Amino acid sequence: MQQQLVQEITGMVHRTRGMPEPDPALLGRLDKLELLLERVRDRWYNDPNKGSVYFYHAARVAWLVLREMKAVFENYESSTNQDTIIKDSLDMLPLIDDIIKIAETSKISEESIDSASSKSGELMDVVYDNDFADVLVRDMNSTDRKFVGFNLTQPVEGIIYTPGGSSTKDE
Amino acid sequence: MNDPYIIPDTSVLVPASISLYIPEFQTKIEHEFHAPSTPLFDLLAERYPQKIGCLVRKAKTESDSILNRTIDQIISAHLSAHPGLENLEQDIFSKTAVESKLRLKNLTRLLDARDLDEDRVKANLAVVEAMSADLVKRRGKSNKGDKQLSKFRKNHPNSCDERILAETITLKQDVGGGDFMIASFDGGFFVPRTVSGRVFDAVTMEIWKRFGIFCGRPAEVLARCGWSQGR
Repeated sequence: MQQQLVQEITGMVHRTRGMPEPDPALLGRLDKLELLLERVRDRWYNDPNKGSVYFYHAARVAWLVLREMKAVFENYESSTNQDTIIKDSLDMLPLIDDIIKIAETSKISEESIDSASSKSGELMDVVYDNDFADVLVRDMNSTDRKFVGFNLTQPVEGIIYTPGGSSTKDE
Repeated sequence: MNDPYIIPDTSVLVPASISLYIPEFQTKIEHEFHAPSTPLFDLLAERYPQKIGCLVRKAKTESDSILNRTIDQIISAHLSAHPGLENLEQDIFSKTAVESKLRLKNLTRLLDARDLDEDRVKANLAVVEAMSADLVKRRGKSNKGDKQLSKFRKNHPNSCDERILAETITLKQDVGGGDFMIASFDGGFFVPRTVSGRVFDAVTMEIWKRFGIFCGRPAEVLARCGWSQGR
């Protein structure tokens, strides 16, 4: 069902190219996919098993990106960069599809953890390299901490935790 | 000295990317090597026009690959030490993973990533593997008890570090030589290991002798360039 939904959305985004407004059914389909992603995300949020964090994170990133995509299409008519919106969406939809497949069907294993981690990383790479990067920066800023760019030595108060058993640590 | 070429390996890129204070949970997630890594990147940012920082592909792909698992390790240990935060594990992990990924992207953008000829990288990898095989077999009084060598043998074959070294050698050949330095915290391959105050550096010295590539911790790389921290 999810695969068909993503395929429908992809087709609608393709058909929107060159048009003044999006396909009339697109926003409704994006709503459905957002609900599906929320369900998948919440399932992993409530999963107490070790390793569930990777699937929660992947589903959450996909949900954040999809929510942003929906907001962008809501304002599509007035946008001055419609071609970019279409291109970026078509870059991201296959990765969102992959993440849903992994997060919906996977059991926790080393292999599925690597898949979830790799796909969420790929999606963030695409997001970062295009106009959707704001969605992730906003997520970071929701921690009330400004993204500091290259000034990486700015002191921050708090507990510094050091991992145990690091293979690189001197004795 | 002419501008050097500095190549941060995975053990520097990943820690430099992981540091996040989350006010709503009043907690900070940070890699133990974050603070000693960041002055190097501040300097690479400052000298960005000279392109002295270089990115080799294996260091990038490996960093992407292990970033989330490293964050998971840090958070798991953090939660064990701070009871009461267990229910927030998903939130803390996801927020840290988002920020760390973006930091890693920003850090790698400071570095010059050149395309390398894969056939030549493979040829250099064979040379590096031969060095590794020699080191594994090495005997003799001067090497007896060398803690870096013993860790190197334990980890052998270390295909990731060997590939990073092979790509660095290829890069050095491409630019026609120069002062090449690998910044690392990896005491089993690139950087000397200090145990009970004694420094063991059989592997680091072999890399220097064979390839003329200096390997050290970020602070040592900065010092070798004549740049002090906290300028």
